[in-house]
This record gives sequence, C-alpha cells and structure tokens, in this order.
Amino acid sequence: MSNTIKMPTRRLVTRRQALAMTGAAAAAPFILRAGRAIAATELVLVNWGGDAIPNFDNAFAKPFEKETGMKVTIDGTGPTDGKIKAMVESKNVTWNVCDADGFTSENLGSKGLLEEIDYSIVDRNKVRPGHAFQYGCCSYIYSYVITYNSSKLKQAPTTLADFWDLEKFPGKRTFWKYMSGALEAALVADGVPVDKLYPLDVDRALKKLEEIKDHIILWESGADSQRFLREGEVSMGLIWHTRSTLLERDTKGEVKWSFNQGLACPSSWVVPKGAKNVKETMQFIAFMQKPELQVELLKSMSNGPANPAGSAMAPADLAKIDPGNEANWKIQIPMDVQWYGKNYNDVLNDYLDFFAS
Amino acid sequence: MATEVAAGTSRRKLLPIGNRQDQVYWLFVLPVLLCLLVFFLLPLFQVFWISLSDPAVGPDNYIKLFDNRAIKRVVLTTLRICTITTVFSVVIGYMIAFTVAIAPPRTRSMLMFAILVPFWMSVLVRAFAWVTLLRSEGVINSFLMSFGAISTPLSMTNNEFGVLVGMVHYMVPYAVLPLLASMDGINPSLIAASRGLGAGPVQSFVKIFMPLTKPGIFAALILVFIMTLGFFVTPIILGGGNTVMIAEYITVQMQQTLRWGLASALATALLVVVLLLIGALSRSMDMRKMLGGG
Amino acid sequence: MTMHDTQGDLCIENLVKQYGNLRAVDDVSLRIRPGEFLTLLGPSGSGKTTLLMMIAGFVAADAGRIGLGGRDITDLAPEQRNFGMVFQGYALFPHLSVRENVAFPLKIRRRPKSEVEAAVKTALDRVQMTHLADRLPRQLSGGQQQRVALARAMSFQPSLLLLDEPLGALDRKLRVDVQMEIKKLHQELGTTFIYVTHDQEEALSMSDRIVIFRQGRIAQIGTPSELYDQPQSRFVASFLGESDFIAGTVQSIDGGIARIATPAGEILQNGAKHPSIGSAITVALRPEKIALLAQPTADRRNCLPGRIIAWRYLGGHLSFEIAVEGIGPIRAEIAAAEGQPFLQEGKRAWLAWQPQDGVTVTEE
Ligand SMILES: Nc1ncnc2c1ncn2[C@@H]1O[C@H](COP(=O)(O)OP(=O)(O)O)[C@@H](O)[C@H]1O
Ligand SMILES: [Mg+2]
Repeated sequence: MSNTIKMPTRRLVTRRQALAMTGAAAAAPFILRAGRAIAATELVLVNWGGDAIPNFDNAFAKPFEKETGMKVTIDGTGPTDGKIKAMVESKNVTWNVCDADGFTSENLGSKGLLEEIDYSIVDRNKVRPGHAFQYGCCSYIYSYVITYNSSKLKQAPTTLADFWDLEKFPGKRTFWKYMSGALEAALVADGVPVDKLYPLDVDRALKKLEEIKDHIILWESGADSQRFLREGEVSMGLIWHTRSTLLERDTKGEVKWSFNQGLACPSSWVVPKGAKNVKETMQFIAFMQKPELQVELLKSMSNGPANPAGSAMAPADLAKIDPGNEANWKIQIPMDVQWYGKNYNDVLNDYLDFFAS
Repeated sequence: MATEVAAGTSRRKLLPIGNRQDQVYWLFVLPVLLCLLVFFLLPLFQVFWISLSDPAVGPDNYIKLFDNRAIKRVVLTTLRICTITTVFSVVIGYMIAFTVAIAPPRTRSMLMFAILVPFWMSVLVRAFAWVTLLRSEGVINSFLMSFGAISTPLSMTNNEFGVLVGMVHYMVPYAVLPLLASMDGINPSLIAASRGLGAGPVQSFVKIFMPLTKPGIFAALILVFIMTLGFFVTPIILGGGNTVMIAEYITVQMQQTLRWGLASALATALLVVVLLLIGALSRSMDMRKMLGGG
Repeated sequence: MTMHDTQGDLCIENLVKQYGNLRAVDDVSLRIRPGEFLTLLGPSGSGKTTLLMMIAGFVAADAGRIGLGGRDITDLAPEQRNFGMVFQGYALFPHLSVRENVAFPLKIRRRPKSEVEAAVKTALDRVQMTHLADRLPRQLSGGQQQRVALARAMSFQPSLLLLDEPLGALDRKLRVDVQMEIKKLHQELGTTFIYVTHDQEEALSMSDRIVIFRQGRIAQIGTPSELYDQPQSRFVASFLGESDFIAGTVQSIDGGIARIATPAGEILQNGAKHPSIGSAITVALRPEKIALLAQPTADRRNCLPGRIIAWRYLGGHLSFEIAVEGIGPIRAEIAAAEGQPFLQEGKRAWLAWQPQDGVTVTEE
C-alpha cells in the first residue's frame, strides 16, 4: 500500500515520513550518513516545498550566492517539529535554516533543539517589535483571514463572530486542523475583547466551538482550504491569506477575503541545534532581512515582509495583500507566539480530540 | 529407503550448514539478514525503547494508552471503522469473487483485470476520486438534486461515512483475492453432487459452497482488518478532521506534539495486535496459497 | 411427439448435445427398464459422461427429450429428478463427516430425524462403513470413500442410480472386489443402475445390457454375450475383447454360406445376411476360436497358412502372433494344454476355424 501524500503543503506529513520517523533515532545514522557531505560554504534552507522552492531560491538563495559565493540549496522536505527533533537527536544535522512557525522557535528552543540567533549578525531592528525571538527570527508574516465564497452567502462575513451566525451565513465553515485561529475566533465570538485574548481560555473556546461543531470541517493542507472554498464544500473559512489571494485570483473574485480580524502570525527562521556553519547561516539570515528581497517574496508568494521597511516600500497592489502593511496590521489580531510556544503541544491534542469526538 | 532420502533433504533445508554448497548459500542470505537486522529489527527495537524511555524511563506511556481519554477514543474509532470496513469489504468481495469464480474464462480475465486495476492506482488518487463523487456539489449529489430526489445535498464526505466508503473501496480487491483462491479450490463436482442429491441452488450454496470457503473468509477478514488498522491518507482526505485513526494520531504525536514515547507505545501496541492477527491467519491457512495462489 | 414408454421406463429420444463444432452426444435414443443394470461403455471422450449428466439434469439438451414413466423430465432441475449419483472422484463433501455426507440428501428432503438416522445406518451397513461414520472423507482410503459415495447416493432410495466411472480411481485388485459388491447391491436394491465405464471387463461382468458409444453415437446395444458374440462393426468387435479381421470378396452364396476369396486363400462364412456377390466383406474372428494345426485339414473347417512370428505363455493359455500372407498378423489363443512341439517361432502353422465362428462386421 502506498499511502503517500505528495503535494505542496505545510505540515502535511506523509505516512512514509511518519514511519521513517518512528525508527528515526535508530535508522538515522545509517540513512543520513549516506547523505551528501556538505561543503564548508554550502547551506541548506528547508521549507515546505512546491512553488516555495523556486520562489525562495530566486528571492534569497541566488542573490546570496552572487554576493558571498556561498551556495544555498532549497530543500522542500517540510521541517516539522518532529523532523527537526529527529535530526538534532541523530547528531548529524544537515539543515542550516528552517522555515518554521514563529512559536516553533519557542517550543523547540526551550527543549534545547535550536541554536540561539546571533543578534550581533542578525539585525533586531529589521523585524517588528517582539519578532526577534531567542531561538528564531521572523522570516515573513502570514495571516489566518476570513475568506468566503460569495456565491454561497448573500452578505459578506466581516468578523470572527460571524462564523457563529448560522442563519445569516449558512453552510459549513473550515478551520485549520492544527488549531491556529480557531480558538481565537471562538473567544472573540464569545465576547472576549481582542486585546485580552491571551492567555487563551481553551475550555471556554472549545465550549463555544461546540455550538457550531457539526458545521465545521478542518483543512489539513493549504490545498484543502482552497478546494473546500472553491468547490463550495464550505461557505466560509479561516485560512492562510496566501491561499485566499490565490483563490480570489483563480475564481475571478467569487471567493473574497479581508484582513479584518485576521490572526497575524510571524513565521521564523530557526537553526537546528548542532547545525554546521552556524556563523554563515546567521549571515544568510541577516542577508534575507533585506527589504527588497522580502518584497520579491511578497510578490511571488504573498508572504508579508518581516522587515517593516519591506512593507513600507511595497507598491500599492502588493501592499493590499501584505499582512504587515500598516493599514492591514492595525485591523488584525497579532498571534501571541509565547503562549503558543508554551501550550501548543498540549492544547493541540485537546483540540483534535474535540473534533474527533 | 525413500523415506530416508526425504528426511535427509528436509533436514538439509532446515539447517543449511555443513558442506561447501551450504556455505555458498549462507553467503547469499547473509546480506539480506543483515539488512533486515539493520533496517528493520534495530529500528523496531528502537521504537520499543523510545516507548519505554521518553520522556522518562518506565511504563508510563503504556499506562497512558489505557487511561488517556483521547487515545481511547482514537482506538475505538479505529476499531469501529476497521470492523465496519472489514465486514463490508468481505461481503462485497465475496459477491465479486463468486461472480469471478463462476465466470467463463474470457469474462473472468476481464473481471480480474478490473479488480486488479485499483492496485496500480495511488490511494491518494482514489480518495480524491471519491471526494469528486461524494462532496456536496459532487457528482452524486448533483445527480440526485437534478431531478429532485433530494433538496439539500447529502453529507457524504468530511465525515465517517466518506471514510468508510473510501476504505471499503480500497480494501475490496484485497478481500477478493483470498476469497477467490478458496473458491477456485472448490471442486465443481461438489456443487453438482449437492444438486444431484436434491439440494437446490440456494441450499447448495449455503450448505456446501459457503462452508468450503470458510478459510478464505477468515483469511480475508483478518487480512483486510490488519490493513485497515494502518489507514492514514483516506481518513485524512475523506474525514475532514472528524475521524482520527491510530495512524494519524501517531503521526501527530511524532511530528507536531513531539510525544514520541506515547507514539511509540501506540505503534508498538498496534504492531503486537497485527502480529497476533497474522499468527492467527497463518495458522488458519497456507499464507503462500492465499496471497500468491490467487 | 409422445413418450412411448411404459411404467417406470427411462426413455431417451434423439438426444443431442453440441459443444462448438463437436457433437458430444449425437442423436442418442435409448430405453432403460426399471431395475436394469445398464452400462455406458466407450473410449474416453465418446460422450458417456455427457449423456449421464444430461440424464442427471446437469447438462441441458440441445435437442431430443428425456422421459421417465411417461413424464417429460428434459427440463427438470437436477435436484427435482430424485436420482442418486456417484461422481467420478466421488465428490464427497470434505467438510462433512461420513455420517453427515450420507444424511445430506435425507436432510435436504426434510425427513424426520429418526428416519434420517435409520436410513443412514442402513446405507452405511450396506457398504460396511458404519464403524467409520464419524471420520472426515480425507481420513478414508480410496475404496472407503467409494463406498461412502455409494451409500450417500442410495440412502434416500432413489429410483435411479447414476454412476460415473465409480471405480476409476481404485487399483485393480480392489476394483474387482467392489465390482462384486456393486453388483450385489444392485440385486438387493432393485434400483435401476446406469453405469459409465471405459473398462470393457467391468462392463461385461456387471451389466444386464451394455451401450457401446463411439464419438457421441451409439455403436451397438445388447447383453454382454450378444455384444461379444455378435459385434456388428469392426469398432465393437475390437473394443469389446480382441478380434482378428479378415477382409475379402464374396465369390458365391450357397445356403447361407458365403464363399470368400482372401489373399491367403478361400474361406467360408455362415450368416443370415451376406453382401451381394462381388462385394467386399470383413469377417471378425475371436483369437480363441482359432486352432493351430501342423497340416491343412480336409474337413469343412476354414484353413489358412501362416508363419509364427512370436508367442507368449499367459498361464492358462498360449498367445500366438502369426503372419498370414496378404492379410497381416493374426492373433490366436489356445489352451496351454493343447500346446504342440511344432508351435515354435519361425515355424509354419495352419489357422483353422468353423465357418459359424466368424462374424460378418461392417468396416466402421
Ligand atoms: N463442457 C464442455 N465443453 C466443451 N466440450 C466438452 C464439455 N464437456 C465435454 N466436452 C467434450 O465432449 C466430448 C465428450 O466428453 P465426455 O462426455 O466427458 O466423454 P467421456 O465421459 O466418454 O470420456 C469430449 O470431446 C469432451 O472434450
Ligand atoms: Mg467421463
């Protein structure tokens, strides 16, 4: 049986990968040692594959090689927390920098699985306040935004509370399978002021979700979220703005979205503990802070620049889809990376169990 | 004399050591054994060790398997889905195998082809094919609504129903093969004898044919059940997050929440169950005949 | 068309079964009397099993009819014909014990429990298998399985028992024993037996009548002695026992005796009907009817010269192969006691027989 999923997706892991993981610690020395030996000046950036491979290559790897002569390989394996842990524990770290969630830096960093960011090389001032983490540095901004299929709804949902209004907004809703956004939406709908969301009251959030549970399906991969909305399987959802942008373009405006009450999240560059060439890696992370490179990525992938200077220099058409843009930033809810870093592992299990029951 | 020779050969097959020819034999087998050890047994042992040592040394993970509410639910969901899938797959597989068994040779090879085609299709493609059919604006709902059979679309995907449909569809061919093997093994003159002795077609089927396919039914049940225990892709794609089975749960614990100890304990428990089932299977019938003979 | 049968007769009329280009059963008509032991004999592939399966109802007829006691049963389902059947290879149900196998037809007929038990016991006693009633078929020897199959076929007292080469899988010695038992059973039960075999000795020793099959057609029907003594065709004469054939031309016919010219000399042949003068004729002759002489005789016996090619001692008798010029090798058998010193390889010998010992046969 080949139960293998292969598609450009974030966090979607395959069974084969899971199985490989299961025996990771034992098998890793044998498997990984067989891997390519890495030359002193060659770096590996690991992201989630698909279009992100050529886009990251064009935006970051090529200019960096041009400037420094160091080659950067983009590897689309998908650096899940589990894989980073496996690699670190195998004591043969072939990855230099990983495209991870902001809170991953807290989560894995606190477990000693990540290198600290060297802020003598990386510039704290080229990210927004609070986005220079101890074990990671903001790479780009993305947002969970309210997105809906206008052919299914008579009026536009504009607030998170609208997800709970089944009469005005009939049809199924979709949230991410891995929790981000859904709990915040539930608390906002339950009347918690936006600035008092964190620490999240998980029990209260799940209780609120219970009200519309039968109308919720969960999207696993970005492609799922697009499919559900495009095919009318759901009428609305809280999905990555990068996918909303694609949907709006592909459906010629039938699927609409806005940043209002979106959950703005920093992604971060993290460096697995024991990585080789840490200094050069830090130089590469610093290099990627250049605003014009980040605008490139905003153009190709809708990823919001981590560097406010990048957001500031984006032309108007790109500014519209940039979650870091001043006007957009104001109407979104910033994710509390610290809270996620501490609580994600426990709460995720409760969240999944809630939907499975 | 003859028995002595026979005993001699069988002894040599069991214990291939001693003469030069046998050493050559070992030379060929050794690398395979080493590979098995390194790539299979060692990692398995490692999994077992992780289950006993992460996060702390002790049997805690195994205790959790029994008193964690979420795990209990996942296990029950898995058992329920696997049982239902197994029953439907074997019942449908039985009907198909029977049709093949009594078909004339040309029809038979066409049917066999149709049965085997899905083996070459990835589980992903098949799951998405079912999404296309079952989703609320999918082929079936559109068809039913087009002439007013239903007014609101039936909810057939992103729930357990969708998962069951996808899994049964996947497993039916696996049920057909052992069933067909056992049906092909039935001497057709037994059915003729039954008819000749006064039993009608239905009685002959119930009293003679069915009982003779019992080993095949048993094999199909166990084989399908074992395979369904590990399902991952189909429940994810057709379940919409509402049906979490063991394989997915293990994956989440490995990749997302980093509870390797718990995941390994669950994987070990699953492996033990599967091994027990395989033991029961190999006892009940000749595995080679079942898997290859069909 | 009406069935011209009387009470209980099984009446087969113009039955045809076609498989592609092959006529497995080709226009067969036959009447079987109640209580008769009728054997279908013929080489392998001659259509015996097909005919039996048509009688049993497993093979549908392409043309023709089957009647039983005046009733047309051509299209009746097998389970409604109430015939007992012993299959080639026995077809015992492997998952049922001997007792359950024998009880099967009775239980299907929903006979009361006590009756089932009694009937099973009677049937098993008949074949002396009571002591093994709880075994499974695979725990039995071939001969034992054969008996169980018989017991099962007769346990419900069918009016007709169909047996398809029931002894085919047994070794020779056992076969002779079981032949006698089947024959005895037939006499005790009084049931009609239709028995298929390709073994001519079996057919000769057991049957009331034998039907000889050839390529889907009936070659000849008759009692064993009729068929042996009066074969109508070359095929029957050579299939049932051994025959020598002497071909020639009719020279004259005189008082039922034909004078026939053969390449080796003239012979005489008795018979009611002879072909016309000048036409070809074949005479079949059983080897044991031939006497071997050192000199030609002067009596009215036929006498042809030959040379002994080979001979064999076969216990009770001696078998000779003799070259007769223009005719070919002829086989002759004489009682061992009648052996003579001149009967040596390479020696001349005269073949002699009575004109009434030969049979005129068709060349088919
Ligand atoms: N089901 C069938 N399909 C095609 N040909 C058959 C079938 N059954 C029998 N035949 C052919 O019919 C002929 C007679 O077969 P059968 O009645 O079994 O002969 P017998 O029992 O005398 O050996 C054979 O040539 C056989 O190959
Ligand atoms: Mg036959």
